[in-house]
Amino acid sequence: MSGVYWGATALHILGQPERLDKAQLIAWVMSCQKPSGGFAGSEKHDAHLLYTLSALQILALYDSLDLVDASQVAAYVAGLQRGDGSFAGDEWGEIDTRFSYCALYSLALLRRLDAANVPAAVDFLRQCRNFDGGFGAQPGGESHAGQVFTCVAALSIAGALDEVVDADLLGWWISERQTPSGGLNGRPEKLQDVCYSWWALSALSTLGRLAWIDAPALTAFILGCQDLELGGISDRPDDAVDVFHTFFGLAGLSLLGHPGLAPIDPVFALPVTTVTRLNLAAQRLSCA
Amino acid sequence: MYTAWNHRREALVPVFKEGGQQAMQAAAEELALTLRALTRNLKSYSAWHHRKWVIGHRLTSLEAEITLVETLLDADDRNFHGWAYRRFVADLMGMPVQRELEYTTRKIQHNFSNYSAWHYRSKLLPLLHSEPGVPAAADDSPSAAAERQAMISSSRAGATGALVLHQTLEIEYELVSQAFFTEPEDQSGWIYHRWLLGCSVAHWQAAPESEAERARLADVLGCQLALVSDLLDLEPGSVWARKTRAHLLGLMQRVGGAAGGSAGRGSGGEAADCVAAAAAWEDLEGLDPYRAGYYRHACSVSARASV
Ligand SMILES: [Zn+2]
Repeated sequence: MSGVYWGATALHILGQPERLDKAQLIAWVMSCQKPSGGFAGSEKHDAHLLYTLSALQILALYDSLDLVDASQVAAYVAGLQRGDGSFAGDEWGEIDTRFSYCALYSLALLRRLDAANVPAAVDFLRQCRNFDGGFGAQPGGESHAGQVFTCVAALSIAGALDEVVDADLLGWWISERQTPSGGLNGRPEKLQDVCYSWWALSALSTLGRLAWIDAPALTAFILGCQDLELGGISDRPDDAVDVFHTFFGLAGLSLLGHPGLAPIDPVFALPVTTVTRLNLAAQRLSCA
Repeated sequence: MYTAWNHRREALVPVFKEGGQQAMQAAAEELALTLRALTRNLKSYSAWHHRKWVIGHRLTSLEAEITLVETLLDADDRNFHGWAYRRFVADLMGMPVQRELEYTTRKIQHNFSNYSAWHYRSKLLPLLHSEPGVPAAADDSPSAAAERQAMISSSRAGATGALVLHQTLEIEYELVSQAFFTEPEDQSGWIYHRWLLGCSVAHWQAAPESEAERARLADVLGCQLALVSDLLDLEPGSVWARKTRAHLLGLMQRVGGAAGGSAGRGSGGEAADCVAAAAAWEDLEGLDPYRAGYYRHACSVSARASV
């Protein structure tokens, strides 16, 4: 399900959505919905918040959200919230700030944010904040660019960025993710990888601090990971390409304003045109 | 990926509920299975979660889990799944903060670049003195006792901003200086150092009227600046030492400004700090051009604060 979302969104960024058959795609997405209202990664699997968000994102992309029973899906999502404000990924109780993003974003798409306890969700995200301004997967967890993206975006949807985030401290930590290669890493003293071009960069954009990294150097790094024969993008130069890194590479280039690509929204990870059509609201900070 | 583990859990729920020898046997088998899965893929979120789910039933030894995860972190000392698992097991056991702190000290002394261990320290230090059964020092002054009491109540309330004791900060400054003198271009210690400076500033912010706190902070900043200047004498090309120097000058500007003329520092000293901080940030724009946008921002913050 997530793979389909990455591929479909990548094609929209490239301005070639017609390369996928909409009717077939939507029918497959709907076939993955479970009686609980949640969506599974594929027909024979169990429902999970990760795939519920991916499914709703695909439906949003193709203007087909009216196919789902919003109240039913919202009840499934809100039912996964715990007393401390966190969200479990499914009934088995794994807790991760990624699921907070999936839940708040899904509810925003369904116009049912009021189904969850948003102030409690914000409190939980605050507990996951760290000494370096970043966020981890659970309280106590080390900062990681992927979790930084999900927490910043979730707080943006909740309208609580300014309450919880120290934008100068976090912006600085993200700027230090750019390595001499021009690419970004996800944690201090780790290797650069194209996927962080989306996770670290989108958070920086939401915080209004995109100018705190070197855009030409990052652009050159992402383009250097392109396979000029097969066309996809890999994690690092000369590695094998995949749809995951192709999407995140394109999304990063789009945020950097690369010519020929449709602009992407840093919070909702969908084309800006889709976000505008759906009138989705999110808080953004500016650099004073 | 999740679905296969879901089926196993569905089958295990009644067995675990029944308890007894069979439940213990089943739990042990499940741990062996997740270990095989993790050996193939150490980043499998679903396998880690399954192991936590099994362990949470308290049918097997938690101490054995600590031993296992220490072996894992010896082989891969930044594995954040491993660190998260250690915290999970430590919480279940009610592990003393002191023992966890000692573990991070060992990991850091083995490899100063272990950012995961520095991170964990930042979580442990505010809890250090709020544990029941920690005896008060014999020469406990009233102010130290009040400080400890304030810390205990704020960490109970789950506040992340609990003050770290001055004497603890001194020990941490010493440890982290070993790190950056050994590996001046490794980010790990420097980012931790910036947090320590914030902890020192927090004492003053908690008591902005206190001249004693202000003077103490000015003293800490002066010592740290001297240390970083020593490092720059040895390693003139160290960009991280320069970043820290610029940050320190900016903090000194704030503290100096608050002293006004009354503490024997004229406005001339304050203006000099301001010029020095702005110049230090400007230098960095050339030395570390990827982050020029950040340095311009920091420089303008310095300039604005001086007006
Ligand atoms: Zn990657």
